[in-house]
Amino acid sequence: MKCEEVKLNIPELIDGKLDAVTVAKMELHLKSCASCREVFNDLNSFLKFTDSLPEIEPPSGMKEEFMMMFNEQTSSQKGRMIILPSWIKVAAVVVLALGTFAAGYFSGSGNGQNVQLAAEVQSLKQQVVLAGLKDYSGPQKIEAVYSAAEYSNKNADLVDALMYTLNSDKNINVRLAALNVLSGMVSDNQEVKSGLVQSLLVQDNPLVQISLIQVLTESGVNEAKDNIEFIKNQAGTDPNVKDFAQDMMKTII
Amino acid sequence: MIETLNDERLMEQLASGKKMAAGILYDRNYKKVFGYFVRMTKDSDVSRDLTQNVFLKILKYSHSWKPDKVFAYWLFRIARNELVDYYRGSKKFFAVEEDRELVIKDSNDSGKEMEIKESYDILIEAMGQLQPGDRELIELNRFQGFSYKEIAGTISSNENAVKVKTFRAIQKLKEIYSKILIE
Repeated sequence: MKCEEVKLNIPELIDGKLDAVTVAKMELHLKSCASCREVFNDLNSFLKFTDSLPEIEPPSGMKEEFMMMFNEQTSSQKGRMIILPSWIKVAAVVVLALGTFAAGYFSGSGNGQNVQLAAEVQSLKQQVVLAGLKDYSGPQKIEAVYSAAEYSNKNADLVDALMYTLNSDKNINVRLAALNVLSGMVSDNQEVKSGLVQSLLVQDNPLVQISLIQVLTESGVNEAKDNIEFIKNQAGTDPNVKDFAQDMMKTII
Repeated sequence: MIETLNDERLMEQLASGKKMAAGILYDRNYKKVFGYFVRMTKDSDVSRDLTQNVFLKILKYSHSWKPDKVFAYWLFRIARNELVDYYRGSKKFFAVEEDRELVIKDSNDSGKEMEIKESYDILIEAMGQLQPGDRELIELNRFQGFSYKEIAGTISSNENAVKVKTFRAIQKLKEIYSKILIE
């Protein structure tokens, strides 16, 4: 056994992870080589010291905190209760008041006017929601994203705003929320489908990439194949994403 | 009984909707994850938040769990990604001065406790002076107990390269530790 090989094996010798034959060879070498023996003695005392240090005790209450977050997440998955940002609530009151007033004012008048008014109210609602997507940040923006899904017609403006959020918001959770909403539209909206396929090329966060791949493959979007392949083969892609892309590619024909 | 299941089987339970598995997985693994973040960030508060995020992500992605995966690697990959995101967001690796207060377990003698705490502080200080790649190898091999082969699988390298790099990282750590000790 050469010195270099012996030295490289020293940590495993100390940890007792080598087979008997290698151990015997190492011991034989160490008896006759002062240089390797010195390395062994140094590392032996250092590694035994580091191994002897007790684990760091986490702060108290972490488990309780986690279980609370866990329960919140689980209950929100069962039936999501949307907590609206306060100014959307104010705007909603205005919209409601406008609607009630208009309903009273136009009662008895022609259907055309009601339809026009309903469209205006809808448009106003949507402007409020779209403004929320642009102006808020962090958790409030996540709520705005979900509000957008809940309260608006899924028209081109909404899709654009969500797509813009998905591709450019600094906050990963906001991007994931936008993706979550868009994923519900992918099956019947060509614009969403092609937007998500394109988004594969601009995302750099592994979680967003994995979520995007999952949405596209589970929705059977065959057009995504090339872009998923591209992410999978790109040098800087996170290994988790590569593995996931590899697995999910099998589900797309 | 769910308590006797290994982590991989618990993940299968979680993926199939048995939410009680989450609490058991958390109990078994959160100290290991917290210790990893403390050694990498030197910040107990940040480590607490990052640890919680890791387990929330495990819940979120439990549906993508595959039975052929090893939970310890998967957990570590999520933790590693979380750390990368944190570094990207905070634009710093280590602050020069940290007002940290590490709590060390199993120390009922106050003199011994101080001694251990001091040793730990110096070790963490020494790890902080390593290159991030070397620090990660030390963390995986010495603190998480991963073999060279397992590390190679986790960081997309080969076993022999990991063996050589880990040996050098241990030597560097020992040198830095000794230097801090005599300063």
